[in-house]
Amino acid sequence: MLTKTIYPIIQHRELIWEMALRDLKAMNKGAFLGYLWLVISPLVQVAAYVLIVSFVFKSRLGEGTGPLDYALYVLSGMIPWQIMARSVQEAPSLIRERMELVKQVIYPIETLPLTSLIVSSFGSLVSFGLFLILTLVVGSFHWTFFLLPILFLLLAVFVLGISWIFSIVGVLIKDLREIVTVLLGLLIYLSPVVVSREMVGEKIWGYILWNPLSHVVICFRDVFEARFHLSSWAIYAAISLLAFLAGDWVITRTKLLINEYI
Amino acid sequence: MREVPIRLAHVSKRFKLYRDPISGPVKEYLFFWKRHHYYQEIMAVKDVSLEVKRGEVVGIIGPNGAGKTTLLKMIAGLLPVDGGQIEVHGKITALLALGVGVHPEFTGRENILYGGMLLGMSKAEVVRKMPAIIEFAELGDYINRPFRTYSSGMRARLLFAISMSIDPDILIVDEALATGDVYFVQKSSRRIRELCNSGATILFVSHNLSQVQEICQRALFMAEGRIVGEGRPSEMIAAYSHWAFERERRAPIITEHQDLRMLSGSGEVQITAIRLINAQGEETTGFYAGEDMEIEIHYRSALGDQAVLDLFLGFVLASNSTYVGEINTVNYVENLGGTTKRSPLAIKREGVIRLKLEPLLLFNEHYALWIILFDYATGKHYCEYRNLSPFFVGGRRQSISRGGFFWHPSKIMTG
Repeated sequence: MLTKTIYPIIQHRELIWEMALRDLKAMNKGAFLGYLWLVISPLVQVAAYVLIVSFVFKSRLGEGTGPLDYALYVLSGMIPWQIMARSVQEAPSLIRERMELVKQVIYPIETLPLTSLIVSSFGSLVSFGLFLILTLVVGSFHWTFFLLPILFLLLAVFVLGISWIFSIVGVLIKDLREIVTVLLGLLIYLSPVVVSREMVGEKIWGYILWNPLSHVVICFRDVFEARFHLSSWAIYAAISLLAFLAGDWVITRTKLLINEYI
Repeated sequence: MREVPIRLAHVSKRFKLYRDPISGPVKEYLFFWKRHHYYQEIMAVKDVSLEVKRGEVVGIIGPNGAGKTTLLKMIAGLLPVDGGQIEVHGKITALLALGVGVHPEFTGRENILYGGMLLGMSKAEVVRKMPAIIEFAELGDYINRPFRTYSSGMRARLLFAISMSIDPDILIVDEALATGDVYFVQKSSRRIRELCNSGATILFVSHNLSQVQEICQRALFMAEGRIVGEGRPSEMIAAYSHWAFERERRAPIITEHQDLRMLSGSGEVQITAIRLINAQGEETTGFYAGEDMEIEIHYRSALGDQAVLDLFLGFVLASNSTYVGEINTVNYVENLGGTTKRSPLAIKREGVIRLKLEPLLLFNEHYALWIILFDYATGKHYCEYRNLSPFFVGGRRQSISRGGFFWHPSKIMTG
């Protein structure tokens, strides 16, 4: 069943990449700082959290930790979250915004989420590289770092599946984009991106674990801290595969039909 | 490679026309057990069967809404098929619109790269063709400047050059051709002929009938979702213009509600009605080219019984008032020798001026009348009307010329 989605992706890998470069170029034409904004904006957001939590609320991660530890903590959670959130937010308008393209050209719409994933993770990946260097310099190197590619692959699989569904539903329901934006804006506070177990206490932490997206963040943190929350890894893998299979089911059935509604 | 790259068997297409275009599609799936409440179905393409051989250039003509574009989109794989089967063998490229994916901030070069890739070429292929595309577009140094700084002619040239750089097995073209100045249009049709000779199979939808005649070997005439004719392009073009004419002829006559306001003049003589009469003596607004036509101009005059006046009757295109030809009584052609002289009309207080055109020499177009009543001797200007009595000319013959010419009406009578 997957041949109808995976094969086109492999076949059109050059197109996916070049279209991502095109979108990046188009976004930055005429801006003085250009690509730098893609790196600056996620870093500024992390800085804002650190300022508010560490200096305004004087909250600490645990005994004997300082603002720098908290900054690294937020950064390690924020980067995967932003990659995911930005791609999922873009998903409802993927096809809608490319109406002319999809209507007039034989374009493989199943590749659109990947192009969008590359575009939205570009800046975050750069900050991720910065973060890795920082941890290598400050902290110690863990063999678990080699598991990162698996986590990114799962993230791509998850985002791809969700985006396929949202890009199709977004054609029919224009409000989806706003709904997703609002939900993700709230969900970040119901996840361990900016808070830790020690900061919120057991009761609220229990609620946080009900949010499937929390486990994505927990898994990424595990890698840096050389720990394993096995249940989180299982949930992360499960929701990724589930999203992918559901998305695959939707896109193979609707990718031609959707042209009638555009 | 297959000898018949495109084969359609009893293909049909339904479109859903939603009562509420925003909530309709959503409700259709939410309340699927009563989905038929939310839309009406329209058959855009009905039972079309077609085979196109390798290297063949087939044109599809027909009125708007005949289902031509829908058919092309189904063949290109852009729309699902509701009934029947479509088989396509080979690399297919669809040129349904120019300028898809063009970004105004990108330079010509960048737009060529991405535009070419969107048409299905690989990056290496576009890079290899880049010099040829740039040469074809004739943009000079502008190729490295942003697209938004281009003039509309330059834009058209670049977009067309991108489109024409493909060499597909199967090409599907919808109205995208013939843009730019005359020189460029000729260059473009050369390139299309080159593509035809390269063995590509081409399906071509156009309202430019002379282009269809020029480049297609076979033509299909579609109307109301069906293929109603198939054959040599010249025959199909004739069938189409005849069909268009018959449809026009069936349309209701609206001469009663004509706008008879004067554009200028003293108003001492005024037109009260215009009637157009065909060879059978029926009042109509549709005529065959080459048929006899009689124009009745009903007037009312305040000049007295012995007055004479001159008539100018011009024919203009109804769409944009372009002048095509005229009859007047100042340079009235007396005989075939070609001498002309003034032949003013004697008019009464009320009556009819009749012009007989034997035959009517206008072709496949909507026309309107431009009438001036005046006195050539005194230079007095009684009344002028524009865009009177619109009518349509069609027929079995193909358009020959659109230039202006003089008629030789056999009779102008007053009464």
